[in-house]
This record gives sequence, C-alpha cells and structure tokens, in this order.
Amino acid sequence: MLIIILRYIFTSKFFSKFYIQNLPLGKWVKMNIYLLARKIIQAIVLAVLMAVIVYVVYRLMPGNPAELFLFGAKHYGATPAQMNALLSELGLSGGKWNLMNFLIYMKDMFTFNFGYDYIRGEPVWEIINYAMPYTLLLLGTALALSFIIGIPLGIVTSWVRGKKSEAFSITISLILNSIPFFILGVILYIYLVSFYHIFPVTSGFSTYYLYHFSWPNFEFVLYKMALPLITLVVIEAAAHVLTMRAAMVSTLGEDYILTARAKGVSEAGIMFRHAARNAMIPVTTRMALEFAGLTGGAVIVEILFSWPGIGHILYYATLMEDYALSEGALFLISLITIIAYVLIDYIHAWLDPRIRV
Amino acid sequence: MEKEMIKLNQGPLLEVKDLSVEFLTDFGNVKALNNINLQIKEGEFIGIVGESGSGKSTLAFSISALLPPNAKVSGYVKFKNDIITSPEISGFSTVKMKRSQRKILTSTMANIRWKGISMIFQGAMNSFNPVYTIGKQIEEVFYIHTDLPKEEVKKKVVDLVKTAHLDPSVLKSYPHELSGGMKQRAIIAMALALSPDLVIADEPTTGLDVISQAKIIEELKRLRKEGKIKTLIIISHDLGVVSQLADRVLVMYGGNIFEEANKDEILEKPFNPYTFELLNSYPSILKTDQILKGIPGNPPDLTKDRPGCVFAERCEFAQQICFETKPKLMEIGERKSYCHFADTIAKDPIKFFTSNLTAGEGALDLLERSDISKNKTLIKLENLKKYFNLRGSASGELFGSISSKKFVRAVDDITLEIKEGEILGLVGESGSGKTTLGRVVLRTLDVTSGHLYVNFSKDSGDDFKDIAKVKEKSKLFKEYRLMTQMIFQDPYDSLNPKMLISDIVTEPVRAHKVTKDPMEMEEMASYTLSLVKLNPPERYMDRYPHELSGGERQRVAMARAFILKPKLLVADEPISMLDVSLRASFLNLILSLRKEFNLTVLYITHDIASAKYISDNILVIYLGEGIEYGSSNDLINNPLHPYTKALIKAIPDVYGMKEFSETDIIGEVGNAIDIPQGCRFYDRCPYRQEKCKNEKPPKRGTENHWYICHFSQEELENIRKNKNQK
Amino acid sequence: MKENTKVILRYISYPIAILLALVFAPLPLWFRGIFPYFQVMPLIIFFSGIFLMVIGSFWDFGARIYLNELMEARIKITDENLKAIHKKELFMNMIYISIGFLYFLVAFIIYYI
Ligand SMILES: Nc1ncnc2c1ncn2[C@@H]1O[C@H](COP(=O)(O)OP(=O)(O)OP(=O)(O)O)[C@@H](O)[C@H]1O
Ligand code: SF4
Ligand code: SF4
Ligand SMILES: [Mg+2]
Repeated sequence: MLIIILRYIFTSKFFSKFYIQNLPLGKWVKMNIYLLARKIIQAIVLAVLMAVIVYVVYRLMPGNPAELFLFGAKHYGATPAQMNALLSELGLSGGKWNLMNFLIYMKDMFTFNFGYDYIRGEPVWEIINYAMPYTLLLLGTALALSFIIGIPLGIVTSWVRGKKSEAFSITISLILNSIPFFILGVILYIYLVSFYHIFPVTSGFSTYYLYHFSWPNFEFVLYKMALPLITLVVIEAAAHVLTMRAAMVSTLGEDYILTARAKGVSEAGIMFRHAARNAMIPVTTRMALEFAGLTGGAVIVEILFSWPGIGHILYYATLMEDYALSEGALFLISLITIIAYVLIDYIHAWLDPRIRV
Repeated sequence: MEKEMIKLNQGPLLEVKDLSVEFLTDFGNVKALNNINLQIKEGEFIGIVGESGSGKSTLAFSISALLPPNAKVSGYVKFKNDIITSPEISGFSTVKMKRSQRKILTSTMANIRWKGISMIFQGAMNSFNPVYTIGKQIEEVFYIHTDLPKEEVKKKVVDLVKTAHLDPSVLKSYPHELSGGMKQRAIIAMALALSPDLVIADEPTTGLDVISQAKIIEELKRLRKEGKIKTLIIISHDLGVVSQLADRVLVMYGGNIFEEANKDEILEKPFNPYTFELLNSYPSILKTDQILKGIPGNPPDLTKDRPGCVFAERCEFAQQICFETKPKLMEIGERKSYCHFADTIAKDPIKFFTSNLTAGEGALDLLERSDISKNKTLIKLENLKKYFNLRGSASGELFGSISSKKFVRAVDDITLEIKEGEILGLVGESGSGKTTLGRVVLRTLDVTSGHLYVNFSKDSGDDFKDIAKVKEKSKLFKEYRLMTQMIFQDPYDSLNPKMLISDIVTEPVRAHKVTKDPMEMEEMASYTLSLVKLNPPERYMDRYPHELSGGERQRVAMARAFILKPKLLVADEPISMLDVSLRASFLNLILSLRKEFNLTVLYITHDIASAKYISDNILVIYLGEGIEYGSSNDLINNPLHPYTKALIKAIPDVYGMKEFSETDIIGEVGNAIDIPQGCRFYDRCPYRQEKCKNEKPPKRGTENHWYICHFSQEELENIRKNKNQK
Repeated sequence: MKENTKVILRYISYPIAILLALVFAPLPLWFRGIFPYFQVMPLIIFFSGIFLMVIGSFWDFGARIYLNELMEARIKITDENLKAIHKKELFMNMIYISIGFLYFLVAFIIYYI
C-alpha cells in the first residue's frame, strides 16, 4: 500500500505539474539565482511534506503499537509510571495525534536520529546505514544501465525506421514495459533460480564484498545482484527505448536536421550531436516519473529477491508496525527521490538552453 | 590547376535530366516530380513558382541530394561533373546500400554539400538547432569542410555575420532569442559560409511580415551585386518574391514544369494556360481593377495515374486530347511550355486566351465597383477602445515591473463609419489589433470605452442604437448577433472534424433557434451551399470536413456564416491559408454575395493587394490605432502616412520593381503596451522629428482620405530631401 | 508600488483568514464537549502550516499567466525582467513560508494553553 501511495504521490499530475513543468515558463526562461533559491526552498519544503505524509500514513493505519507494548509491559508487571516512561521514550505517549510527538518525530527525522527499532532494539540508523548501500547500489546501477542500454537502443530504433528490426524492437519494448516488476521478477525467479539454478536463491551478501573491491568480489556481487538488476533494468530500459525513439522520430523530422544534413554533417553527427541532444529533453522530463517508478520497483524487487536493502526493511517493518524503523526507511527513500528530482531538473535545464541555470 | 577547373566547368553548373520522383506511401505512390529537365548556368538566378504540393521542395531536395528514403527516383541530377541524384544513389536505394558504397557516396556528397550547394530552407524559423548558439552552428560548417584553426574560424564567422548586416553579438545567442527576420539573415550568412556555387532558397520569406520580407529580398539582391551569391534558385509560392529576384522563372504544377522563360516574358506573355490562369489569380496593387479569375477546382491528387495533362481537370482551355495524352515540353525559341497547344499560343497568345474563354467570364473584364456612397450607414464606431488589462488578474499586479503601463492597447480610439454593402479592408501587421477590432465590432469581446452604433432600422431610415455596453442577455444584443457572423483564418481548425457538413452549416440556425424543422434546415443548408458554389450541394452535405480540400472547407465556413443572411460579415484573413489559385475565387465569392445580398464585410488581412482588390475603403492600423483611411485606390496609389508608404513599398509586386531601402522603416514591429507618448509610429518612422516624440499627431487630409501625422505631405517630402542630402 | 502592496496584502489575507477560521470554527464544538480541541487542533494547525508552505513555495502566484499575457502582447521579455519576476516570486514564497511559521506559533500557543 505504501508503495502505491508513494508512487501515486510522485506520479500524480499535481506533483509533476508543479515540479517539472513549472520550469519552462514559456520560451524565455533561464534559471537565475532567484529561481535557484526557489527550487532549493521547494526541495526542502517537499522533504518536510514527505515527512508529514509518512507520519500521517502510519498513524492512519489500523493498529497501535502502544497497545502492543502496554500489553507486553503489563504482562511483566510494570507500574503505570514505568509504562508512561516507556511510552514517552518511544514517542507514543499522548496519542497518535499529539503535536509534541509530531515535533519530536520531525526533529528526529531531520537529524537522522531515528531512534531504536521496536522489535530488536537496535538503532534504526544503523539498520538503515547497513541497508542503504545495497539500495543505492541496486538503484544506481539499474538507473545507469537502463540509460546506457535504453537510450542508444532508442536511437538505433529510430535510425532503422521502416525496417522489420524497428517493429521488432518496438513490440518487444512495449511488451516488456507493460509487465509489472513483480511479475517479471517472479518469472525470472521461477525459471532462472528454481528450474535452472543459474542464480542464487537469495541475493543477500555481506557488505564486506562492497567495501573491499577485488575482481572475485566484484564477480560475486554481480552474481548475487544479477536477478534483481535484470528485472529492474529490462523494464526501465524498455521504457527508455520507447520514449527515446518517439522523441528521436519527431526530432528527426525537424527542419534543423534537414539543414544539418545539407550542411554535410555526417550521419553519426546528425544522430548524436543534433538529434539526440534535442530528443533527450523530453526524455529527461519523463525521467523524473520513471525514477519514481524505479524506486517503487526497487522496493518490490528487493522483497522478491531478499535483497537486503531499504525496501526490504521497509516492508517488514511496516508489517510489524515498527514505526521507528519504517518511518525512517520511508523517509530516506523519499529524500533520495527528491534529490533525484532536483538533479533531473538541472540536467533538463542544462540540456535545453531555453531553460538554463 | 585553376585553368583545368574552369575548363571542366564549362558545361552547365547543374543539369537535371528526365528526373522523376515518386514517394512510396501507405496511400499509394505520390508522383511528386515528372520528367523534369533543367539546366542552370553559373551566375543565373532561377525562380521556381508553384502552388503547394506542386513539387518545388521535392525538386530542391533532389538537387541537393536530400531525398528521403521513401523516394523512388529515375533520371539524374548532375552538379558540375558529379551525379548527385540518380536511381542508384538516392532515396529508396540508399536503404539497401552496402556500407562501402555508402562510404564513397558520403565522401562525394561531403564535397558538394554546402561547399557546392547550400540551402536556405522553407520554414526558416526552425532551421537552427534550438540547443546550440547561432555561432556554434555556423562554425560547424567550417569544422566539417575545412581544416582552419579555431581562431580563424571564429574570425571568419564574425565577418560572415557582418556581411549579412547582423551584429556579431547574435553569434552568442540561441535561436529562440532572435526574431524571425534576424534568424533568416543568420541563415543566409550560414548559407554563404563556404561561398558555394549554388544557393537554393526554398520559401526564404514565408512566415515573415511584409517589411522583414522586403528587407530579406533586398539583402539577397545586394549579396548578388557584391558577388557573394553566385547562382541562386529561389523557390516560392509567391510570384512577387520570385519576380523580384529571378532572371528566369519556372512554373510548376502537379510535378511538371509547365513553363520556363525569362521573367519579363512570362509576366507579359505567358505561353501556357496554367501560367496564364495563375497570373490572373494574383491580386496586385498595380493592376487596374481587373477581375481576378482564380482557377476553378482543386489541386490534383498526385497518387492517381492519369493518361493526360495533370492540369486538364481545371484547365479552361482543355480539349479532348488533353485528357487522353500527355503533352510534351515544347521549346519555342528560348522558352519552353508544357501544353498541347503551345505552338498555337506562341503564335498569338492574346487571341488564344481570349477566344477560348467561357463567355461572360473574360479575364480582362474590369471589376464592377458598386457605388456605396449613397447607402445608409450600418455601423458607426466612435472612439472605440479595447484595452486588455494585463494585470487584470490579481496576480499580474504583482509582477507589473516589466512595463510601467498595465494595458495592452489592442484597439485604441478608432472612429469609423461603415456603410451598408460596403467592404472595408482592415490592414495591419500581425499584432496590430486587426482581429481584436473585428471581434469587438462583433461584440464577442467587450468594449472598454467608446461607442458602437448600429443601425437597426429595417428600411432606409436610421435607427442607431449604441450597443457598446449592452448586456449579453438583452434582446437588442441577440438581434445584433443574428445580424452578424464571422469567418476565420484557418479552414482546418474552424470546422469541427466530427460533424457532417450539413450539420456544420446549420449550426447557427440551431444556435439561434430559427427553426427546428429538419426539412427546412436541410433546405436552407443546400441553398446556402449552392450560394457558395459548392455544387451540387447534395454531394457535400453528408461528408466530413477532412474529405474536402482547403478551398472547399473555407466555402463551407462561408456557408455557415451566411446561412442566416447576416448583414455584417467579419472575415478574418479568410484566404491566407488557401492556395493562390483558390484565393481569387474566394474573394470573388465574397464580392458576388455582396452584390446579391448587399452584404457588409469587414475584411481583415495583412495582404494589401487582396484588400485592394476586394474592398471599397481601407483602414490601416498600427498598434491599435487607425493611422490612415481612404478609398482603396486612393490609399494605395497615393499613400500619405509614412507607415503606409513603407508598407506599400515593401510589397514585392509581380508587375513592378520598387527599391525598398532600410531607411523606409526602422526596426521591427513593436508592442501595444509601451507605446511612445506622441506618435505611435515614432520608434520606426524615418521622418520623425523632436515634436513627434511627445505630442499626439493630429488628423490630416480630407474626410474621405485622412492620415495621422504632424506633417503635411510637402513637409514630409522636405524632411526626406534634407535627410538624403546628409 | 501602492497597488503592489495592496495585492501582497490581499495574498496575505487568504491564509490568515484560513488560520482564523481554523482556530475559531471548531470552538463551538469544543464547548459542547464533542471535540478534543486542545489535543487535536495544534497538530491540525501545524499540518496546515506545512501545507501552506508547500503551496506557497510551489505556487507561481500567477507569474506564468502574466508572462503568457506579455508574450501575447508581443512584449520583449529580457533576462532582467525574468529575474525581477523570479525575485517577486521568491519574495511571495518567503511570505507564505513565514505565514506558515505563524501557523506553527498559533499551534504552540493552543498546545500550551
Ligand atoms: N517524404 C514524403 N513522403 C510522401 N509524400 C511526400 C513526401 N514529401 C513530399 N511529398 C508529396 O509530394 C508532393 C510534392 O511536395 P513538395 O513538398 O515538393 O511540394 P511544394 O511545392 O514544395 O509545396 P509547398 O508549397 O507546400 O512547400 C506533395 O503531394 C507531397 O505531399
Ligand atoms: S495540355 Fe490541355 S489541359 Fe494541359 S495546359 Fe494545355 S490546354 Fe490545358
Ligand atoms: S507624426 Fe512624426 S513619427 Fe509619426 S508618422 Fe508623422 S513624422 Fe512619423
Ligand atoms: Mg515546399
């Protein structure tokens, strides 16, 4: 449900309208210092809003961890005073909708002081700290790979216009792009893991392999990571192929391409220097939305392949009503998304001189 | 080495031999070019004229070896000694080409492109890549074709831009920061970068306003004089533009060259029926009141195979033979004409053209001007103003720092009388407020201040009522709505594509609840359709707009406007999207409706020639203000206001050469917010004096032909003389 | 300038009015004892403050409409103009954000009563 909400928020018209298309105020906008300041303020406010949403969403969910705790504490014969002390330590006294609880929550969120995990009592920050590299690794690699594969494929597809290979490429991309992450994940899992035993059953591995780089370690990480990565990359790259191809086709029909051709610019120059640069503009606009999709996908894929990342943690913490852990995890995911959005904004402005920082 | 080159180049610079091009599409093969033969010598300026779809651009693409992959070619194009277009190397066959073959081709092409042939494309607005600066894109040419070091390239580019009369600062700007005229100059500069042997300009002025267009033409002429452009092919649908620049003119229609001759010969004595009819379709400000005939029918469907002449369906001189066999391009002395009767025409053109015309529709007839001076006045505008409040929204108020004034004075203080049965031409550049005035008169926009008197009397008496502030729900207003209708510029946009023609035409009937009887409605529709000469009406009633051609759509729009027999019709640039051959007949339709029904028309246009043809009086507006008014002949033969003078001088006319110079008008169109305190035209007026800056100029001249300026004609003349002496 | 201030005041008045409504509208319910005013309202007002900040920082206060109007009127928009517009926008953003803080303040006051 969380994922759905998260996805809904980031892909909603309201959000994209304000955040992405807010930029091209007609043709003449260039980003200046004031606009920059506004963008930064917007990013901060957005982060605050995310924290609020996280808070509200968890409090709106049925169940109340305080009762769970109180039940347990009573069982061990705690005095009311002790119980109250326990509750206030957990930030649960005064009810779900208490201003002070909220403020403490906010303060903790923005100082990354997420408190202790309800279940095992470990510091949340440590758990997240442990999981974060996995998620960043998976997301970053998936994002980069999907671009590296998708964009050139899109360009090539637009190149071979009218041939069979174009139709083939489009059809495959369309099919792949319309498969939900979990279905592709399950299919891959069934075939490549259960039947053929090519890939490992679980994808978890120690951070040791991440921090101590060596060739065998790298191979090992790759082996473990392969399935979740493939699931994400295949679907994302397919989306990039489709957008890039569409953008290229419309760009290639523009008059300036004809002019470039008449100027004697080589085919490669036309494709990459003149057309691709322009075609990237709509692609980056869509990138923000796709990134949200990817984050959602990553959560699912992590759960599916037991990839020990934040999504995995988030899932189990939410199931256990572990406020501290799940709130911390969700908040961090939102922060990553917001940062990605800001970056995409700037890439967009950099690509298109009609909007420049 | 030098001498050898010259020897090799003794043949024609460019030779097109039996060139045919077909485009393979899902809707059949479009035969865009048929058997084109053409030779261009060095130093010639060739003009190619033709309506939309006649294959002009396709010919240009063949010449520059840029045909798309779905083109099937036969014949060849030879530039100097290289074949650059032929069945083996162009269009369709490039798709299947082997890599090694392609490499050879690319290397020969690399030599020819831009160094040999450079192009100025149609739709110049988009000829620059939006993400690179102008400078970078011009430099690119040098990097591709020369090995010059960076500094030298930079220097060369600056020189180039200067030859095109542009400030070197444009090099640092992105395309979207320049105006249309400036961009076009930059493109010309880029085209001349490597001093190519041949420059092809495909519609270089389309989309520019008259004055920018005149400046570009002037520019091209100057570059020729200076020897910067050696050979030019200029392509345009506007015979005026072509005749200003070309020595030799080719007339194209349906993928064939119909006539080829020197410019003067073609204009004076066309040897081909198509040229003859085309010439009779162009309104010209220099022609006397001759009737424009236009060409009946629709442009040909090029996917169809036809045994005879492509023009036969529309040709008034067509005989049986025209439908059965294709004519040949006949050579008559230096000239060529594509017609079965070319010989006969050449012997005595006048006899041929006059004897074969359908009786009563003689091309040389004079236009009947009806005398409207005795008619009663239908509409009186008094100090009519329409301001758009820029900060009307609360938000706008916040950002008001851009301009100190907060109103767009779209229509400012216009006083005018329109007689019943009059056609009033409203002429102005884009943004001058023409459309707004039209809409204010119709009261689809509210009036800011002033009066709009309308004569509601049914007989010859006067019954003026001011409807400027009348509420929309009132009876008077509804009555006025019934009296008025409008037609729009774009016949593709203004008709709902999902409605049947009969429903479109009867829309006003339903809107005004004139009748609910379907039979009656159908009758009305069919009658109106036949009025607008869509005959027989039954053939059109049950079709959808997309099944009609542009000219037919505009007629449908006219039928819709006319079905309730309005007294006043506001026509907002009704012909600007139509082909030349269809324009004249639409104008004639308006004239005939006026004659038959005493229709009053407010004809809004930026095209002075058509305004002259159709209207009785013309009002020239500049930034919302009427600056000159007079009867159409008076105003055009004897313009009084400096702006009108410049405007009329700027029109490239088929029948005359006028030297337009930069000093006739300064800069580009302004806006209607930051208007000068005194005369509106101050910023651009070459005659301006200190006085004009702050004092409002008075109205001068007579009631029938007035203008707004501080100076009388003699004074203006003196100012000009003084200036010239300096 | 005067009109400018007026508009700014008008923009300020909307969130203030909402704040007043938020503070006083639920009071009758509380008097009747069916609404835990002092427990719930602080948080609601606090959230509203954050929400206001979000709106205030993303809203362009009609700048885009204004720019479109200018473009339609064929007025050249220079970089300086844009800078001025963004400056104004930033200014308005800051105003709304400060009003957001005012909401926070009110929330605290109610909380501590
Ligand atoms: N790539 C293409 N594929 C299919 N048909 C085409 C293609 N390019 C042009 N045509 C068709 O070829 C015919 C000639 O087109 P062309 O562009 O040469 O006309 P034109 O005289 O330049 O017209 P315009 O004045 O509108 O520019 C038209 O019927 C057009 O629809
Ligand atoms: S051949 Fe016939 S149809 Fe064609 S132009 Fe000549 S007279 Fe007209
Ligand atoms: S009043 Fe002055 S500026 Fe205006 S048109 Fe006459 S001479 Fe030119
Ligand atoms: Mg063309």
